[in-house]
Amino acid sequence: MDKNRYLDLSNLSKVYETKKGPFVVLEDFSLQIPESEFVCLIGHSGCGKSTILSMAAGLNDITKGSVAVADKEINGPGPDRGVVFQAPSLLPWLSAYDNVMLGVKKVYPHASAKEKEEIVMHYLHAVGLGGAIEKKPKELSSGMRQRVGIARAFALKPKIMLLDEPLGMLDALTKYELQDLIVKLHAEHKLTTLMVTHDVDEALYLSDRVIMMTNGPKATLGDILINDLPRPRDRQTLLNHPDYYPYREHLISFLEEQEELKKKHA
Amino acid sequence: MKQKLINFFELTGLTWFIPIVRLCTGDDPKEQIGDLSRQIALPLAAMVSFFMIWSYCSTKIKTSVGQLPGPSYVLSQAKAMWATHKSEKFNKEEFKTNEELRISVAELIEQRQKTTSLETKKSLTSKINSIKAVILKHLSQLENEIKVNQAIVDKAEADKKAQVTAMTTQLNSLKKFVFDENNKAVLGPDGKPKLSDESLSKLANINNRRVAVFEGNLVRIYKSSENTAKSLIKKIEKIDTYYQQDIAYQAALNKDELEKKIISNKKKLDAFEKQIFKGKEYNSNGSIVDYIKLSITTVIFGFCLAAGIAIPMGILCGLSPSIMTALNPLIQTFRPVSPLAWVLITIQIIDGIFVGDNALTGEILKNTFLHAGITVALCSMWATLSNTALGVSSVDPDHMNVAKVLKLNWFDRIFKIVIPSAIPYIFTGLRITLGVGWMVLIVAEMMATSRGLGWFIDQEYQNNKVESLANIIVCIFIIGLIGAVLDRIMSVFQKLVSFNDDVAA
Ligand SMILES: Nc1ncnc2c1ncn2[C@@H]1O[C@H](COP(=O)(O)OP(=O)(O)OP(=O)(O)O)[C@@H](O)[C@H]1O
Ligand SMILES: [Mg+2]
Repeated sequence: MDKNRYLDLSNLSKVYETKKGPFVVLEDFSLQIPESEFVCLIGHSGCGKSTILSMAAGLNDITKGSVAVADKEINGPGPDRGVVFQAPSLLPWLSAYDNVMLGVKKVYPHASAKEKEEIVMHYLHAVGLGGAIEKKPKELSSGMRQRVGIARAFALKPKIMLLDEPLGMLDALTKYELQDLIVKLHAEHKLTTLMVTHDVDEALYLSDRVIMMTNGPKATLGDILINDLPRPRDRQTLLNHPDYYPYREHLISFLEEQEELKKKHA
Repeated sequence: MKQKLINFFELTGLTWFIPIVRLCTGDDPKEQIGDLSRQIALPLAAMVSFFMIWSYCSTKIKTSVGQLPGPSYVLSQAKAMWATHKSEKFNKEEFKTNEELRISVAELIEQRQKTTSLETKKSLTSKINSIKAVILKHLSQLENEIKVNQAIVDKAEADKKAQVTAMTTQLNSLKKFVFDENNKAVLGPDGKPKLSDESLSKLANINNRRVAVFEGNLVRIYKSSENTAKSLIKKIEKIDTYYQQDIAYQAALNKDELEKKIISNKKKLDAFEKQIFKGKEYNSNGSIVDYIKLSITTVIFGFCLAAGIAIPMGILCGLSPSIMTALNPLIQTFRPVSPLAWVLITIQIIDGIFVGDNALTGEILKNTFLHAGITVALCSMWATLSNTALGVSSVDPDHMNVAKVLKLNWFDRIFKIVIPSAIPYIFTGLRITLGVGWMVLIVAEMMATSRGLGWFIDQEYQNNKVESLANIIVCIFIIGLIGAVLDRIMSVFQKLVSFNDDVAA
């Protein structure tokens, strides 16, 4: 098995059939992620980031190209790829505990009831939700809901973690907390992670690599930034790191360039 | 505690209790009183103006049976209906007491007929005679009731008379007479000036109010119960006389001479004993409470039937677009059919299945009950069906994605994702179903002659009297109130099962 292409997206294309004819969102997008690397995907709204992620998850049909996990081409969705979306998409009629349990039951069918309970409790504690396990999603704050979503994804013991703007709807403080949570979980589990974000600082704080996408239609990989800021990272010291601002500048200027292009196009 | 109460009132939609709770627990009185006046004063003002308009209109509108009953008349009719219910209840109780006494006597007599042992016969005889004491005790209670109630009746009659006299004088002094075109008072048949229609209707209102119905009825009931009890005593005594004589004759020495007497005595004894064995059916049209009970039972039956059919069908339709496409034309065709049409066909089908008037046993499970209940189900199930189908087919794609990522099998997908997420829709449908069902029920009962509120309204309508009109108006209020309560209950369920807070009140 090639450790350098644990998650292998090769020559992905996506065409949506619309009323106005075929709409090519994505063309020839390739990305290899080595095992336990954390990759962030940034790009303008509508360029097709979610499309890539949902194709990798198997929730969206692949028009052309292929997705392979650990050298095995995927065929539809499965619990080997944990997914967290912007909206936590918890089942509203189940408590936080049961939401996590639903997946655990599926992934550990032979575990005893007690073992399952321990797994669920472990992950709920890990995301800091030990005290609210019996609460229904509507009784939780949006930050807590997203924590449940993260716990649910990690409890599946996936090989790959796919995060689509998981912190997009949260306020700054909650965002920081959950970023730290993600860092902690990644350090612990060393999961290969592909995360979409709009937030440049978030990308620099979390990732090992930042992938920049060109604008759609026919969007594709635009630029790659190797983010070698030293780990473990601390928000304050990170800001003072000499590379931080150049990296940030790199990302922002890419996005601005794309914005300019878009205006010219229009 | 306080928060619990507030939550409860919020859940049930009785929000105007909340300021009262807050006031009692010492929250800022000014704010709460403001809240209270908004929540209570406005509806109250609307209510008062409604009654005023009604009251005014009732003096102006003439129906085919007389003046339209005003609020106070309707209220007195409502009281009369309640009184009728109570006397009905007493009647039933008295009937039961008397029947029980008769049955215990009859049992003892039967035992005495069967046994051959003289000793047992003797002891049974004394037991029969001792029942007399029980009956006498019951009689003395009745006498007391009669006295008390008779006094009330007499007073009520006197009051009524006084009221009529006062009203007549008042009307006369107001000189609300009828004038002809020459402005001359028109004379009535009695030679006195004729009163105007409006004045007459005022008088009629008093006369019509059944002032002493309740107490009068009670006196009647108690008197008839008294008669029954007395005649039972008489029968026991007669039986005893002939029985003792029989023993005496049997023991006499010159039997041959007595032969004739023995035979005729035996015949008389048999005749009286037979009378004791004969029971009576309790016969009554019931009272308003019985009608309400039956109506509610029927609507719940129809509702459960509707839910039992519509929810599974709705789930199937929601799951499979082809089933939906197949059934949709049928659903669209049957949905708008009037209860009047359904009830007739239901009557014929049910009567065909359960031949006879009362093929099913039990008091409420008569054919007419099924007619009305099934009609309710047929008319009301559609809302639940389409809502369930909608809920099942519009499962949040995010939730479906969860199922896909977890690779849930078909069964788990349906029972763990699809149906739970459709539950709020299903309950919205059920709430509509119950509302429609309650509305349809009244018509169905009229047609099916199931003895609920609808039947009662129809009966009253056939009566063709102002009084009946007032009874119908009372029923309208009762129907409305029960409908509102049923809807409240369903809305509570709806809120309990909803995942979001934005469910309509
Ligand atoms: N089912 C669909 N049918 C047609 N077009 C679609 C469909 N889903 C997405 N699109 C289009 O594909 C493009 C990419 O969508 P996508 O959701 O992947 O963007 P994104 O990069 O995630 O944007 P954002 O940052 O706003 O989340 C958009 O222009 C969108 O309009
Ligand atoms: Mg997106």
